[in-house]
Amino acid sequence: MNQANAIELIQAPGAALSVSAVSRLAARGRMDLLCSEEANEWLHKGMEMHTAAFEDPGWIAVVEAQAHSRSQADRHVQFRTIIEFLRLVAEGADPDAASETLKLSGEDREMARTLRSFWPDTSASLVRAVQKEREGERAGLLRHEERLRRAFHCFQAGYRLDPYNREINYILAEYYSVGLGVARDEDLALLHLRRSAASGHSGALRALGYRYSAGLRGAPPPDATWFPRPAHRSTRGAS
Amino acid sequence: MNAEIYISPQLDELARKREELALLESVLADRELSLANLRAELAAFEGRYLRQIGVLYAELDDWTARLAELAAADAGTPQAQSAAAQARAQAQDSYAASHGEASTAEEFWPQPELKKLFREVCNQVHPDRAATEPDRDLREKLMAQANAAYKRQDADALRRVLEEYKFRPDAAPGGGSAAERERVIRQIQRITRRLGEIEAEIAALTSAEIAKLMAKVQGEAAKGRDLMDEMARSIRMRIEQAREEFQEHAATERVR
Repeated sequence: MNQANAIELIQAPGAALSVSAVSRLAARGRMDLLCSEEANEWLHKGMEMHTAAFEDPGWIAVVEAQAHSRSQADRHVQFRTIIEFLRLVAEGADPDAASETLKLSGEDREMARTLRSFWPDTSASLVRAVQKEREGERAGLLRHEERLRRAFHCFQAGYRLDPYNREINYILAEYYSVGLGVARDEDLALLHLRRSAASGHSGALRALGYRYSAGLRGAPPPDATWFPRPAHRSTRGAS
Repeated sequence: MNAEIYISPQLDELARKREELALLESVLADRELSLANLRAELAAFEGRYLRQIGVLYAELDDWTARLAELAAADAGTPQAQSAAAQARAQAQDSYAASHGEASTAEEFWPQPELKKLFREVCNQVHPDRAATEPDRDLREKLMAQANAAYKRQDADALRRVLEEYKFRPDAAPGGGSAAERERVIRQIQRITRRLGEIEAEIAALTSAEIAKLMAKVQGEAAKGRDLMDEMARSIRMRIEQAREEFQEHAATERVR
């Protein structure tokens, strides 16, 4: 609206519009709304990236492999360890050192020796298969990390636009706390967690509640009005 | 005998002009009603916005100014003092805007009956329908009263305006058909000009910040979202943050 129109508005009978200050307040509200909407778009983009990072088949394979490797009773895992031994040896590692690193039992070492000596082709193809699997896992991991980095940048962009968005603060707290897509930073994680909790985010309140009950850093200050606490119970005479 | 009524070209033109005028008067009444509705809706929304959101911005600006003043006292540099003065000026500006007359505007939900009555007043009393200058003066005065009454949603006052006009001193103009033709043409010109003015004012009003904000809030309300409430929550958060910062800063100062 140009100045000439603005002056007409003041003079128009019945119009309660006074330009300058009121108009500035209205413009400010609209700008805040636009920023908030754009921040939500960044949040949405970041969440898509976050989901993609954790749904990547390569990443899932890594997680599953880790889960398997924790199950020591699994014969299949032992077999994989033997192949891993063969791989290291094929790549020039000393058999005794490799065996020590992988903590192979005498039985496993015997099996590895048999495989290598009597079925060299099978042994080599098994090693190739594992190498290929490793490369796939590595690529999956790289994709996973790259997506997390991008997700973090999206959340940061949203935060810059709307520093009080409770969802953005909550997810940033998680990213800083775990070190997803960014170096771990407990101070920043707490700052975002408290800001999210202050706006009533249930997840953030639970997380702070846990910290409070466990006596960890980041417990809300005693006068924080936004943090719901159980009714005070007197401990007098309890002993 | 073939009895044909002879109508002179002048009378024929006068009849056509009267028809044109009648149509324009009807359009004018509708557009005046639209304009009055828009003004009143905007004023009401503005009042609600200032009461719910404006006061929070004023409070936030006050805390921001206090922080800037503390920082200026701490730093003692001309830049910090200038920033503090600027922050204080904005706080005063926001306070004045959010507590001014505009914030007292009431909600505007006109009943169909009231709209009909106002349209009737526009049709009867509009100054651009005046045939003489004294008549125009009277109509302008009554139209201003009608606008104010409509904004207040005061149907009785609108009826009084109509009555007052109905029982005005006779202002019937003299002269023959030529003079009347002149008057009708002038009325058409005035109404056409007024219609242009109304469209320009509607365009100016709808492009104002408050109108854009109102459109946004109403659009989201239709989807079940209360934008004003969300805005208020967000600003309260910022106030809380600024208050905490101020208190921390002040406590540090006391320790020193």
